[in-house]
Amino acid sequence: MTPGDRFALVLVPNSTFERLAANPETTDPYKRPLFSFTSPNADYGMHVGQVPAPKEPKFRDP
Amino acid sequence: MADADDDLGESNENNNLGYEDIWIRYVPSKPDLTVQNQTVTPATINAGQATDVSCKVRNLETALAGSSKLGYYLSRDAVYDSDDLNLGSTDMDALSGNSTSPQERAVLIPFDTPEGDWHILFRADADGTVAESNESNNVACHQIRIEESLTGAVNVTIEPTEAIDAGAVWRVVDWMGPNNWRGNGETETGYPPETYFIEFKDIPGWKKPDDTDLTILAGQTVHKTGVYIREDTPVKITLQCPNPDDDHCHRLCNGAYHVTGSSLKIRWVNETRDQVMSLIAFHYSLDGGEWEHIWTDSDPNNKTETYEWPIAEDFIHDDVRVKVVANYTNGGRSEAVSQSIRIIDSRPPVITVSAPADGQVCTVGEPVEIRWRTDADSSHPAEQVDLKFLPFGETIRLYGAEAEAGSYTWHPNESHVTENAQVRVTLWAGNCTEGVSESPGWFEIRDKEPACSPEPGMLVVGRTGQVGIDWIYDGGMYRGELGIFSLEGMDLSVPDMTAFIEETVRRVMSGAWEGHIVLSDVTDKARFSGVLGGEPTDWNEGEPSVSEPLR
Repeated sequence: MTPGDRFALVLVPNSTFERLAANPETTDPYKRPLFSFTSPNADYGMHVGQVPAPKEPKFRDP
Repeated sequence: MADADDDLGESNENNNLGYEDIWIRYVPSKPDLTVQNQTVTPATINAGQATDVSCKVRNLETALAGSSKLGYYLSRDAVYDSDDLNLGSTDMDALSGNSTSPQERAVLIPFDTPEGDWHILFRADADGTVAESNESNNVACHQIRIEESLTGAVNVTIEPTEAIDAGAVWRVVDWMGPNNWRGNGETETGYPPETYFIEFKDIPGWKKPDDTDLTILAGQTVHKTGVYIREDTPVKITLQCPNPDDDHCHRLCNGAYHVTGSSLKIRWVNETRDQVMSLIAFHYSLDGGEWEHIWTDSDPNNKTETYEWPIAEDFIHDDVRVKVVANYTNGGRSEAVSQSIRIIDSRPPVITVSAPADGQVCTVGEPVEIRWRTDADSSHPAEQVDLKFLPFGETIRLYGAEAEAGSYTWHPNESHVTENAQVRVTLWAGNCTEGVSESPGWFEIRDKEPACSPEPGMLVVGRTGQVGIDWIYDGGMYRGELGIFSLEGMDLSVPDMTAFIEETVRRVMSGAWEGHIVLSDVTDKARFSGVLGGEPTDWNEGEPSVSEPLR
């Protein structure tokens, strides 16, 4: 990934990406992926929760 | 005697004669010498030149004139008196009565004769040895005109007195060869303007002064001093410093002395330790010119062999020579001259930092212009500049043209965020000096606003292009997998959920810039363990997940 690219997290709750790849249409809650973001047009819940952008600690001259 | 013409017939012709004795005395006459037909050729001459004189000396009487002298005199008037200057005389043979003796010769008009109208007097019987019938007609005259001298003179002084007493003399050598030896203080005149050679006589026990060329100018007296040095007590001084090839004399800067505003070490050695110096003098010369006096120590200590010559701040010269002259109590003298040295401006540069300004606000990733000026002479410009960023301590080092540029563009990163930043500029100039200064006050470096505002749950790759993930805690019994994937080029409106999942999985499994599997609960283990409420056991097992940074 290059600086400035946006990215997201995806969780397969109780399976693997390999099995998900074999059946992307699955409705099995063990396999159905959970995304870190919510699409404005979708009603898929965001289960991982918001991940805040990390901030560098500010330096203070002693 | 009667009947002297025997006209009468006499009875006795034998008694006509009578007589009386008389005394006839012989009285010789005196000669009388005089001068006639006198000439002077030429009659207009320059002082210091010779002119031809001629005349006839005539004996007006019948009596013989004995041998005599014909004298020549230079006089302001036509009358001879004893103040007139004798120009010489000619010996004459005896001159018989009523006869004439032609005379000619050259006479030299003295070099220092004032210009004007003069007379040359011709004086017969100049020494008065002939008794003449008339002593008042011996002098004849010829008027001449004397112009300013066209010749010059030389006057030579010889030192010291002991050498004069030992027979020290000098002489002029011209194209004809050497002239007569002359003594101390004597003057030789009558030399047409040109270059002559002055020679000093060798005298035992003394080293004579160097014979020398001497240029004589018309109407002037050139003075020259010759110093004899006693030979029986040789003396010698040598000079160790300054020496451009020896940096023990002084710390050099590219072969040059940077001593302005401080002092230059002059170090000498009295090679004749047993001889005592009476005086030591220091001189310097610029560009091969005249020697200028620096300092004289009239009471030198034989053991003190260093003198620190104070050098003014503006004493900047490319060709400087130092001479040390030592006089010794035995009358000897020795001198030594250094090699040429270069003295450069050694003032350190004064640095002024004009940017960043006090209170200036800069942003991470945005260019920050750093500007500085120096008064360093263009002959030795900046060779190196260090930009030290305070308080971080990072240093950027610039050389050559970059160091001379006077500006640098810096890009602060996230680690530089501070309200109290400063730049310290250290500049090394070509004269081996340095100056340092800091930017005025403090400037601030603020974190930049994010490049875009991601939606909640979206993240942005930082400047490094790397993402690190640390698995802190295992959530429970499920054994799933977590992936990351780039959102670039994906339609986030998700018109087709299955296609979106297929693309997501493809990206996650690509293991390249598009995405990665970050952790797999089947094999990986979180950093911390524990039993969650509602869970029967601690499900954390496997290898600790230590993620390499993902690109």
